[in-house]
Amino acid sequence: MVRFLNIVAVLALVGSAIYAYSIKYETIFHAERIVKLKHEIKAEQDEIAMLRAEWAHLSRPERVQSLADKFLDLQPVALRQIVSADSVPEKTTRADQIGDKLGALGLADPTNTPSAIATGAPATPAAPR
Amino acid sequence: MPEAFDSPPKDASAAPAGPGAPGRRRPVRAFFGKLFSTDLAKTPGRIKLVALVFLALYAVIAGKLVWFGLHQEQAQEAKRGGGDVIAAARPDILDRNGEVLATDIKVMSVFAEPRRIIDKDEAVELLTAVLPDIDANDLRKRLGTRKGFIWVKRAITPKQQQEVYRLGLPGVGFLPENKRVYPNGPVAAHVLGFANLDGVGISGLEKYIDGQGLADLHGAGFSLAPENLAPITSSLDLKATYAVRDELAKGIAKFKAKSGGAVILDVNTGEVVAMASLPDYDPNTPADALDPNHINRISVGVYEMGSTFKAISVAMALDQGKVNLNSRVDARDSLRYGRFTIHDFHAQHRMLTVPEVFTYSSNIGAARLALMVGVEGHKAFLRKMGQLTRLHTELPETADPLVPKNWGELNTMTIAFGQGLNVSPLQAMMAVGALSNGGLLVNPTFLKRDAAAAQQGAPRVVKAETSESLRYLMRLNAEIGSAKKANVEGYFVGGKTGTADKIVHGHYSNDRVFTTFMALMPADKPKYLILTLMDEPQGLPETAGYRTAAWNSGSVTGKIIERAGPLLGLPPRFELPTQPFPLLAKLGYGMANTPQTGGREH
Repeated sequence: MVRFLNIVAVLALVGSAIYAYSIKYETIFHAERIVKLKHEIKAEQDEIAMLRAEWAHLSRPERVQSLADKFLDLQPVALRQIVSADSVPEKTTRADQIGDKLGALGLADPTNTPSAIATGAPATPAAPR
Repeated sequence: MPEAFDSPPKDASAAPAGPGAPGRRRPVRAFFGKLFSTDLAKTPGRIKLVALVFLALYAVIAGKLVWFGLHQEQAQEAKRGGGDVIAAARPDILDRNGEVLATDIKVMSVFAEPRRIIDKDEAVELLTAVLPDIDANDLRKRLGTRKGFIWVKRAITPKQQQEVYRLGLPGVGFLPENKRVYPNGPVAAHVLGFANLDGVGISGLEKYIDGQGLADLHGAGFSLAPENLAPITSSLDLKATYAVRDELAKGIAKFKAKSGGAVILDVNTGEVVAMASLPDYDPNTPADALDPNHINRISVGVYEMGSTFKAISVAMALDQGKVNLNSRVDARDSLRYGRFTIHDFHAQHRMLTVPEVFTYSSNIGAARLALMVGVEGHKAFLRKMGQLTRLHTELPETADPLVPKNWGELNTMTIAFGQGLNVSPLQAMMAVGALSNGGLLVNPTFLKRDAAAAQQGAPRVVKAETSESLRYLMRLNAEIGSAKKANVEGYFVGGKTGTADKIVHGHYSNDRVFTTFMALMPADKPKYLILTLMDEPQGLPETAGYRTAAWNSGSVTGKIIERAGPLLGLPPRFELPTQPFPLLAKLGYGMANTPQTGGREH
């Protein structure tokens, strides 16, 4: 009985040692991953800061103006071109004369061309077998 | 064999009885028997032995400590010993809409540890080959020192880093550093100031940030990451600042002025929304900032503000009840005082009403108004308006106003029309801002804040009616007076010109002028005060040779209003406000609310 208990105790000891070691190594593994991820986050943040600076540099008004002068056929906004939202005309009922005329032509209606299923004949002649 | 574990000496003598025990093992057993004997007689000796062993152990440790103390590890203090520090992180500076004005980026810097470099000449040769812009002699000299750490070059490109790395020099390494960059270049340079390579703010807002405790934190050894620092939101609007600078630069080029400046100030909050002072510098190359020609003309320069000061004089006389808007002032003849005579530039030779004093920009009228208040009253009023003491904002660069030492009647007369007292333009703007915003003297700021916070501690310097009268006068001046050039339709602009003759060799010069222009928009609900100043603008054929403020500073201000107004979100109104000055109407000046027209060219 005592011998059995001893064996059990030894096995428990060995088991707990293995468990403790596995936990320890797992902890080290995770700690290393945390460090690595922190480094990656830091690198990303540095990169974001760099990109923000670059974006601010590229979108600076001076550059945008010179590019607009060069490539766009625009003029400075005149104050008369600025109106308040109230002075925009009310939305009217949709008046689409051309659309109405097209509708009257009846192009959107189903046509009476024979359907493919009804005839079963392909549009192009089938290749000879 | 349980007998092997407990071997008392008594048993040892009895042991030979053991069956089959070889005779040659007996001395071994006897030795171990003695060694592990529990004889009490042996205890003192054993204790001494143990004590001796421990004593020796501790002696070794103590000796090692002494040895460490005598032979210090040099590498540990290498970085500090060099007297160089790694550039510290600084918070971002944003404009009022969140655009980046200044930010930190990570860069690599090359350092060297001279003690660990084997062949210094080879190292110098290879390093200068890769980094051509460093001085070989200087580097050789610095590598020859006994320092533990020197910077070879700060802030190198990734390509250069790769090349230096490939050299494989021992004792040469890289450190990541924070580098301050200003993506917008010279725009807002004077407000931002700059930080040096070590991340220490040298001027402008950068220095102000350090003064707020950042430098102390760095000094105490806290290495702060940029993400831990809350960004500083300045009061500037990047787009408006650019527009102001662009228009000012065009104006300076057109009128061949030596220098100039322009500011947009929010009169209700005291925020400086846009500011430019030309010529300026790019804070990314801070060496240029040291050029004395690149000073901030808005807050460091002190100037005789010329006729824009008449606004203060008229407001003073109105506020103290010496005159009202219908009073007349004698401007029939030049004003003589001792051997001095004060003339009018646009002499009318008649009695002028107070609004006419303002619109004709009458020196005589302004001088007489100031004399009504008296020397002491004038001085007290200017002190109350903050014109006699240094203006303190976030910017460390400020200047004391030049106040005459013996302030007599003549000084009061000349200061009334803006000659004889030099103040910084921002200081004058603060005063005119107070005269137009309803009477509260709001200290200008370069950080974002709201009107409630700004007006909390702001002292009331003039009555609300006085403020409205002044707004009316400025509006009238834009309708029929000298500020017509800046009367941008849609913004109900008010304005005042100022042309001061410059002092050359102790005399007021006739052909060198300093022109200023203050514009208020809109004059009924004051929001922005715009100042443009130009140093020595020239007359042009299209200005009929005139170099007075209306032609140069005034026209530039008009362009700034036209361009910056929409950027600042101020909607233009083309129907004139029906009752722009309600307080004046109540006081019986109904004429203030009817727009004036007329071609009186002043």
